[in-house]
Amino acid sequence: MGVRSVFYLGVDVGSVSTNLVLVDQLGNVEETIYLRTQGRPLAVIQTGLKELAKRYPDEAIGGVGTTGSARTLGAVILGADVVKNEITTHAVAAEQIVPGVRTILEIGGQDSKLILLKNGVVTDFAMNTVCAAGTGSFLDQQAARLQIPITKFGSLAAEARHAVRIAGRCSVFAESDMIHKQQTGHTLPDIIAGLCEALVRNYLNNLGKGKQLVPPIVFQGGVAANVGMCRAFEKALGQAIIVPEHHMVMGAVGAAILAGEAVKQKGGASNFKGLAMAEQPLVAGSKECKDCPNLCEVIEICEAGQPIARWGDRCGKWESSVAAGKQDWPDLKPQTAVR
Amino acid sequence: MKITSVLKISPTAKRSQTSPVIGVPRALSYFEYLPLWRAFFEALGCRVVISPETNKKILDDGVQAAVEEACLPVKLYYGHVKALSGKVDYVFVPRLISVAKKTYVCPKFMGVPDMVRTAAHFDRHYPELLIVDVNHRLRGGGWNQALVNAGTQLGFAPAVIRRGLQAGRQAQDDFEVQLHTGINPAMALADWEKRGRAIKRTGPKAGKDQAAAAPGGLVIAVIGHPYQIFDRFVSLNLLGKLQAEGVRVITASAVADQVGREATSHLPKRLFWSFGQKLLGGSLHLLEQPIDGLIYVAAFGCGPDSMVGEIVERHAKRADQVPFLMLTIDEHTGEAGVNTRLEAFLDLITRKKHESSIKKTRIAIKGYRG
Repeated sequence: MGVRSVFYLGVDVGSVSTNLVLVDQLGNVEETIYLRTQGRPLAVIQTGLKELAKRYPDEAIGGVGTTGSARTLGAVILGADVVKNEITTHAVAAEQIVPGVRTILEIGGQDSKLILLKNGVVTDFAMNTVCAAGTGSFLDQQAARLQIPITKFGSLAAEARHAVRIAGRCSVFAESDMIHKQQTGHTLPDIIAGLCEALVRNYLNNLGKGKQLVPPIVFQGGVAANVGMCRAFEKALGQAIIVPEHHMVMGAVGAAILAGEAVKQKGGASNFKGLAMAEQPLVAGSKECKDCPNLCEVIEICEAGQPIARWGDRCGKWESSVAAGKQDWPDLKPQTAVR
Repeated sequence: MKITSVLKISPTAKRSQTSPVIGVPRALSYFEYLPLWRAFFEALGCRVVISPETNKKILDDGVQAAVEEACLPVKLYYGHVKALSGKVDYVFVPRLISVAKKTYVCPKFMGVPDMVRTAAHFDRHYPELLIVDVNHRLRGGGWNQALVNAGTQLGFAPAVIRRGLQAGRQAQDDFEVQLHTGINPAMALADWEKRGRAIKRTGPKAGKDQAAAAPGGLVIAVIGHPYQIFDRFVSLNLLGKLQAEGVRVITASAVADQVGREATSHLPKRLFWSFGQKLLGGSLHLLEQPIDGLIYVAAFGCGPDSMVGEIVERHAKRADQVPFLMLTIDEHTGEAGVNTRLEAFLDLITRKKHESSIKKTRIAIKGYRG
């Protein structure tokens, strides 16, 4: 790594994991940091920055992009050049790594997506609705119940000789079904393989309904690490599935690539606040605004005691109050203050 | 006596001096018929009070009182009726059975007056209701007869009611003509929300709205029941978000019924829900127009939507891939989920539009397969 090389930082702040990646000018992944969000997105982003600061100077980072469900939060504290939804970032990253990709299966901590592309452009997508059955969280939960490390879950499934049939429609029922199967004497690998097949069935029924899944098919997101899930997809689709090396952090890779595009478009200047943000005292608080019957829960992010962003209000008056220089926050006693 | 119905009410004696104040819930058919109602009641000399825009309290009140299986828009109706409590003499609750020839309205519309009456039975904070049937299937049973009944129940003389009808009809016709020019329906409705007596929107202003379509900007058809898409709370301000992105929005309200019927004339069977037909006809017509995408906003648990939405999706895909997004909304719908889908959908359209130019600037491709 020479001092002169410039990378783009992509940060994907998801419900379960927070990923930071650096990609170079050509879109090659240089560095990946995979952290568990553990309900503290601000602190985790800072942890990630500290890691980066050990090996890279500020000048090495030429632009920042954020994505994931906490992308706005991440953008505010990092000074992002681009804030993108997860669908676009995943598609951009997959197209970069597997040119010509037509179908992307993505299963993350709390949601799952199906993205269809043609000529490098997204033509259709679907996301799971409220229900998180079949996502990483459910697998995590089952692994914990069976006291198997999640990393071994997939390889156990691969040992199955006869996958049992489990109802994957709902995670509550899936669990009781699994317990029933275990009590009647089915082996653990068979049950886990059955669970993987059930989740895949659920995914394809929910998201793939009426859609044509054309190869090349890429499987990414944290769950793609699970060999059992890959096998189940291959079996269900009758196709080979490509799992990219950096499947865990594809959203962040896409955000980094888009940051590169955005910075170039702007003429080279980045909004990045610098790796020193890792040391800044950041506080997030919320209050219920009682100015109207909507009772919006307004969030405020403070950097060194100064508010840098507010959001969550339907009318937008708190959101714009920061830019307008109105720093007051009447009757705000943060109900919750998390670091 | 708290609850009034067609048979029980006798306000003639009670309100001989002043005309009653009529409440209109800002929900369900309000978004289609406000001009008709408002002009009618005001021509009778009544004051019309509209419930506030949906807010959290109205939602909570509605969800709490409503039957479990109802869709969100019906649940909200309860909340809007209750919000008028203490402000009006009667809340106008028409029972929509059939509003056009050979069609029906969703059965929940037919049940709404009774559902609300039941809720009122358990909660003394409900205002009195003025219920009339709107049933095109009976001879002379359309809106005219419904309003005549309403006027009669309120004790007005036939001549006064006839004048009211004329005013109402005129207002509604003006409103619909305005909608068909492609004006933003929310703006057309805003005039009627502010003041009743028709303020004629003159050409230039309507033209200005049209001109808001920035050249080169996206044009997206947003299809959904007016009580979903024009309710900013329920739709999580979908239209506002699109407009903030510089998108010009067209809705099915801009498509005249006749045009919609022609667009669906090739279908093997006629749709007998009048609002469903409006959405389907509007969609199929707009799919033939130069639009960049179509967003279908469905109410969770809505029977007609689950079918109409599916038909529209299939046609969107047939019509050489007009990008299609289905948003299903209920009271639990989180804003984050809607935002992500919306942003991704706009990205999809924009990238598709600039496909060739993007390809050139995309940084060199190099990667591996695992």
